[in-house]
Parts: sequence; C-alpha cells; structure tokens
Amino acid sequence: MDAGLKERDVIILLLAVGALIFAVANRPRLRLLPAWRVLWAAFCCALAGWTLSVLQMLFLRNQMMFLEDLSYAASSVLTAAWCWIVFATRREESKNVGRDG
Amino acid sequence: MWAGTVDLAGLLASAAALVFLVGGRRRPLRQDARVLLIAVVLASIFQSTVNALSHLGIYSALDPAEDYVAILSPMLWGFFLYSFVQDVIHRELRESEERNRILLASLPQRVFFKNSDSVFVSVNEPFARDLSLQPGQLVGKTDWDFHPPDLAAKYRADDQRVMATGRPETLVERNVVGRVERTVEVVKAPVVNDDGNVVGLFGIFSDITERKRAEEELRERERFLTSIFASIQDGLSILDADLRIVRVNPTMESWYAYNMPLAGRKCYEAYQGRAEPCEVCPSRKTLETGQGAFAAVPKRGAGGEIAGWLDLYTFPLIDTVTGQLKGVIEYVRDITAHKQAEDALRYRFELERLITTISSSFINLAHDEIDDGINRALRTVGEFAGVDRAYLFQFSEDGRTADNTHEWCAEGVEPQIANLKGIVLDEQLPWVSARLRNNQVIHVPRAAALPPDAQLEKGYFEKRGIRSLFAVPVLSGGKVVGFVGFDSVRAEKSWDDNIVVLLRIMGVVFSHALERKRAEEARRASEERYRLVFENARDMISLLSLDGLSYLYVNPATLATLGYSPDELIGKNALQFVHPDDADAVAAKFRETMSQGEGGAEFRYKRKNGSYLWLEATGRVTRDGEAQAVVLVISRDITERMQRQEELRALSWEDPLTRINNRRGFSHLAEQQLKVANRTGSTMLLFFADVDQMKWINDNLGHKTGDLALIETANVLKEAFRESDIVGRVGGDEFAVLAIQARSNEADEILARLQRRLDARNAQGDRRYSLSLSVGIACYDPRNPLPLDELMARSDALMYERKRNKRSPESLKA
Repeated sequence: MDAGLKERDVIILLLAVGALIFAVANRPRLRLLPAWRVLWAAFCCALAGWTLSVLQMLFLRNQMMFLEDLSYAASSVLTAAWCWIVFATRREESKNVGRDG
Repeated sequence: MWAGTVDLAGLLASAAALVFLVGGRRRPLRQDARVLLIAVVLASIFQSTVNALSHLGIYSALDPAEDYVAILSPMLWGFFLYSFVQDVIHRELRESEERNRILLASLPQRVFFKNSDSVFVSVNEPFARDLSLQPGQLVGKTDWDFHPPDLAAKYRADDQRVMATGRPETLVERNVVGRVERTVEVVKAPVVNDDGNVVGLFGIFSDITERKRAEEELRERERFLTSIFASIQDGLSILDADLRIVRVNPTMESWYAYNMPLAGRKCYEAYQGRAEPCEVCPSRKTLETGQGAFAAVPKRGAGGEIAGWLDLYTFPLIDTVTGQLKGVIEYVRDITAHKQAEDALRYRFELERLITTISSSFINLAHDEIDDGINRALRTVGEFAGVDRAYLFQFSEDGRTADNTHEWCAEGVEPQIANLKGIVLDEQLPWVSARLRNNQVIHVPRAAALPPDAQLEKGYFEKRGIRSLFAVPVLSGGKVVGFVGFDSVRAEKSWDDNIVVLLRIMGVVFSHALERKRAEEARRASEERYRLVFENARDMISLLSLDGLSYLYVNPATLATLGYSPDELIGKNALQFVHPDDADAVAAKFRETMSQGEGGAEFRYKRKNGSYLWLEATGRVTRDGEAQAVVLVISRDITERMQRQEELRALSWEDPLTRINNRRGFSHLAEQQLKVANRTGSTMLLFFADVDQMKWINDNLGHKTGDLALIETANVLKEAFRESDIVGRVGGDEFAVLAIQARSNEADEILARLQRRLDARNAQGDRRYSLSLSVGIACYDPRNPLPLDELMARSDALMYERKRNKRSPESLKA
C-alpha cells in the first residue's frame, strides 16, 4: 500500500470533492462572502494539494510531493490573506453578509 | 530542503491567519463559522508542522495523529462552507419574512392568512385595526372570537369551500365596523404548498363602500341618461370609429322600423341603403377632423325612396379619460315639413323674382324691343314652368280672330306660330273662346279628356300633338285682347295656382307693353306729322331752354329768315341777338312768359348780315317729349309793317305816348305862332324842360314806369300852362312849351306854378320816384326875331345850365 494508493488520501480526496460539489451547488450564496475569490482560491489550492497527494502515489512522486507541499503552502497563504482582509483590515464590505448579530 | 521551506512558509502563513482570526477586531462571520475556520487553520498548522519536521527528518510524536487531522481537514472546509451557506439561508429567510411583514403592513387592504382550520396565522395592521386589536393578538384566533356566530359560520363555510375547490373566490359582503356599515369585497384564495396541498387560506379584502356608491351613482346617471336618450324626440345615433351603429334612441328606431335592428350595422347601410359610405358624410368628417359637422341628408323609405329630409349634426365622441376619439354622436332632426315649406317658399320666391325681373325688364324697353322682350319673357316663364311651348295670342280689333304673335318652344318641340294666324275663335275654338271672353282660365291637364262640348278643341289639340294646355286671358282696359298660355306636348301636365298668377301677371305685363308699343308708334307717327308741319312752316319756330333761353331747335324758316346756320344758333342765348334798346323789354317779356305760361313781344332781332329785322313773337312754355320744359317761340317778320308804322308816325303831329304834340307838331304850331307874334308884336316865352333822373327811373323802375313818368310830365305841363300855349314832346325825355303873349317878367310866376304842380304830384302816396324838371327859358321878341331852332337851342342850353346848377333860378332867364 505504501507504494500504491493510500486509503487515507483517497478518503480525503473524496471528502474534498464532496465539499467542492457542495460549494459549487451553493455558489450563489457563497459569493456573498467578503473577498470570496481569495477564499475560493485557498480552497482550490487545498483541493489541489489533496489531489496531488493521491497523484504522487501513481507517478512523479517527488515532483508531486513538492507540488503538494507548495499547494498547501499557497492555500495557507491565501487563507491568511483572506483572514487579514476580512478580520484585520478596516475596509467596509458592501455586503456585510455573515456578520454576527 | 525546499519542501521543508515550503512547509515552513505554509506554517507561518497559517499562523498569521490564526492571528488575524483570533485577534482581528472585525466579526464579519457568525461565531460557529468562525470557529470552524479556526479549526481549518489549526489543522493546516498541524499538518504544516508535521510535514516540516518530517522533511527535516525529525520524528515527532505528532505523526500518528497526522492521518486523522488530514482527514479532518476537508471535512472542516466542508463544515465551514455549510455553516456559511446556512447562515445566508437563514438571513434570506429573515429578510423575506421582514419584507412580507413590511408588505402586509404597507397594504391598504386588509390581508389575513388562515390555516386549514380557519385559524388566523397572520394578519396585517389594517385588518387588526378594524377589530381594534394588534396583529399579534389575532394569531391563533378564529372568526368565532370576533364575529357573531352566524357570520363566523358563514366565513368559515366560505373558507372551507375555497380550500375545498382550490379556486379563488371574490365575495362582496356588507359588514359593520363600529357603527358604520360598509361594503367590502373579499378575495379568498387557497394557499398551496410545494407539494400541491392546500395548507391554508389567503384573504384580502377592500372597503368598496365608496366604489359601490359611485357605481350606484353611475347606474343612476346611466338610467337618467338613458331616459333622456329615449325621451328626445329627435333622432340620436351613436357610431363607433368604423361608422358602425352602437346605439340609437327610439325615435331613430321608429324612423327606420323597417330596417331593424340598427345596432351593429354600418350607418350608411342602415340609414341610406348603400354599400359604400356616402359622398357627403358628416360623421366621417367628424372622425377625420375631430370637429362637429353638419349636412342635410335624405330620409329613406323602405323602398329606398326619399321619404323626407333630415338635418344631421355630428359631434365627436371623446373618451374623457384618454382624450381619444371613440366615435361619433349623430343628432338627427326631421326637417321634412320644414323643407317642404322652405321649398314652397323658395318656389314662391323664385316665382316672385321671376315676375319682378320680367316686369322690370319691360320698363326700360324701347318700343322696338318689346317683341323681343315678350319672346324672352315667354322663354323664361316656359323654362320655369317646365313646359314645351309658351305663347301669346292677340285678338284682332274686332275680337273675331286671333293671331299667335309670340312663341317660345323647348328644344325639340316644333314651333306652331306660323300656322296659328287668323284663327276664327268662335268657329274654330268655340269652347276656348267662350271661356276666354268670360275672363276664365283654361286649364286642360288632359286634352284627351276634354268634355263633349269641346270636341272641336280636342281635335285641334290632337292634330298639333298638344297633350296639356293652360291659357290665361290678357286684358286691356277691362277688355280681353288676347291670351297667354302653355302647351305640353311630351307629357300630360297640370299647373298650380302659382302658374295662374304668373300668367295673369305676364298677361298684364304683355298687355301694357303692347299698349305702350302701340302708343309709341302712334306718337311717332304724330311726331312725324308735326315735324313736317314744323319743317315746312313759313313762320319762324324755335324751342328755347327754360333755364338759359338758349336755342334747342330752330326750323328752316328761322334759319332762312335770320341767315344763320343751325350751329350758329343752337346752344346760343336767344336774347343776345335782340337789339340793345329792346333787350330789357324782351327779357322782361320772357320772364313774364315763363311765369304765366305764355306771352308775346315785338322787338328787333339781329340777322347774320348785321341788320335788324322786326319780329312779332309769341312764346309758350311747353314740354319737350317726356319731361323737359321748354319755351316754344313762334316768330314772324314784321319789319315791313313796322316800317310802315314808322312812316305813319313820322307824318303824325301827336306823340302816341303822351298825347301831346310831337316835335313835328310843336315846330309846325310854333312856327305859325312866331308869324302871328311878328305881326302882332307880342312877346313869347319858350320853356325847354328835361325830366330829371329819367335814366335812373328806366334802369331801376323799368321802362313802363319811365313811360308813366313821361305821361305824368306831359300832364303836369298841360296843367301848369294855358290851353292856348303850345306843349310838345321834342325828344325822349325833353319837352318844350311855347307860352304865347307872355312877357319875360312872367317867367318866374309860370315856373312857380309849374313847381307847385310838381309838388302836388310828388305829394301823392305810393310813389316810387319823385318827378322833377330842369327848365331853360328863352324869350321871343318880335323886335329881334329869331328862328325857332335858334330859340330852342338857347333854351336847351339854359336848361342844361339849369340842370348843372338848379339852385340859381336867375340863370334860367335869357
């Protein structure tokens, strides 16, 4: 199994695809999130990492692993950027959707 | 190495994200979503840490947990996204509810929702206000909580019926809010869920009390207008924009009862029986222009014939809301009776105009134009009456025969005038003759139906194709002198009383015209006779204008006697040729003639060669032709007679005016006395007297007065001197007296006696002049005899001296 597919990675990918389907299905509502494109990019990078973790078992292991790490890092950076935009800046969003209260 | 660096970068980024999430001042997400996102970041930090250590070859106690965290990571992402979506859904729901609440609160209508058991679920503010409650107080209640049981039961039954049928219903009900009764319109509709099941009832009702009242008023107004529409005695017809009849009133229905129903048909079909719109269509004009229009149109009967006439007024039918032209209102008035009266009036007017025109046309016609005038008049009346032939017959002097003298024939009708001469009326047309002579009108609408006693006429008319005939006698001085009439040869025809009047008047006009013609011809013949007399008379005959006494006409005898040409006399004043000595007297005579109508005078008149001849003239004011007053002067040359008279006067010793000696007589007697004085040696006085102011008397008081003054002077002299003295008129206003056996010292006494006589005369009343004499006196002494002429010359000179200085009586003596 070490040389082939890991069950864990497949399960993660399936869960991620499920999340992707949900996100696409509710895309109109998710678009109401502030700086939605940044968050969506972060999710897509994470999804790419999860996909690469499966692909690295099939071919180009080292390259895929590097790209996987790079995807996770990009996802983290984008997530940080989104959090900075949404939580740390004073910029008023026209759409104050999701705010507490 | 690179992998470890990347992981480390991811770790730092995740840490930063965590810092922002936890430490950020803003809270744009719900708390649960934020927590889930923190979990995502923590999972990321965990994985980055594990991966970094792994790449650095450092085993960590965290590795076993990495699998679980890795699986948890996408799940956390999914939960985070789900949480946010739920948040949005809940927010949308709240907003939707808020909008519904606002909508319900904003609606003026009363709105309610009930569940399937007719329990109020939601109501709006106006609904609750009607029940004096707040909207929340109605939720969970039923109609039984607010309304009487029977009304609540009805409401429930309505609710259940709507929910059972699944179809909305509109109900109009009356209810009472407070003490106010009102009318409401309720719309109840079933509420159906996504599965198609009826889960409740939606109701909305409006207070339509005002609307109902307005509708009732509208209906009442409609009834009122309908009653007006039906009561109008004139026709009313409403058309749409396609000229289609929308509505008519009963009057229109009665007029076109044969063509019912009218509504829905085109107006030109229903009213005029036409397939196409009329050429003159006021309705179409109104539709085109939006303006009212008018036309008189025929009223058709069932067979399409013209049964009368209508005045058609059209008005635009405009939608008061949109301002759009919707159709036409036709207001129709039956003017048949009016038009008939108008036609009769117009016919009468035309008739009278015709009569006036013809009558007046004859006034100025010359006698030689009268025949043409009659022919023209026959043509005019013939065309007016629509006959084929119009004619005038004139009876002969004895009334026995008749001649067709004038005729007019319509085009295509053969003239008969040439054949109708010398008709012996009593023999050829006895029936007609008898009636005409009794001044009766002959009206034969059907020649074929003449009575048996008119069989001659019947044959006569048939022979000439006359089918109808109308004749009126022409009278002159109460006597029938002919007749004027009409023939109809192409159709049988009858004539009304107007034609009788027309022909009667034509008869009078023709009669007068013909009489005038005859009189004019007689006058011209008479004139010709007089002209011959005038031209051939040996006396001088002339016509002078009354105002300027200028020559208007002179006869040849005048021209021959005076030697002038006509141009040298016509227009010249007749007095300018009178001798200056006679001019004043002649002018006075003319004035007398003009005032008294006639007069006469003898005077000298200048001929062209400059010589004068004596004329004896009589003048008479008369009329020249029609109206001009002129003086007719008839003169005769009396030169020879006057010359003989002058010769006789020259042989006479007596002055014809004063009846005393004239110069010849005075000289003859004075010469004899001179001889006697020479024999007896007695002295004599010769008085030479001249009448003072004689010229003034003649000029201002006239020659007649002048003559009177001379006669008076003679009388005074005869009274002042002895009978044996010789008194004579020796000049115009000069007198001479030879006082026999008178001495020079008696001269003053004689002069004083003469003056007393003059004073006595002048003392008489009503005198227009004062008689005065200038006297010169010469004494005849036989011892120094002088011839008479010398004696008279001396006394004459003394008289003039006396005249110059009448205050010096001494100077009179010589």
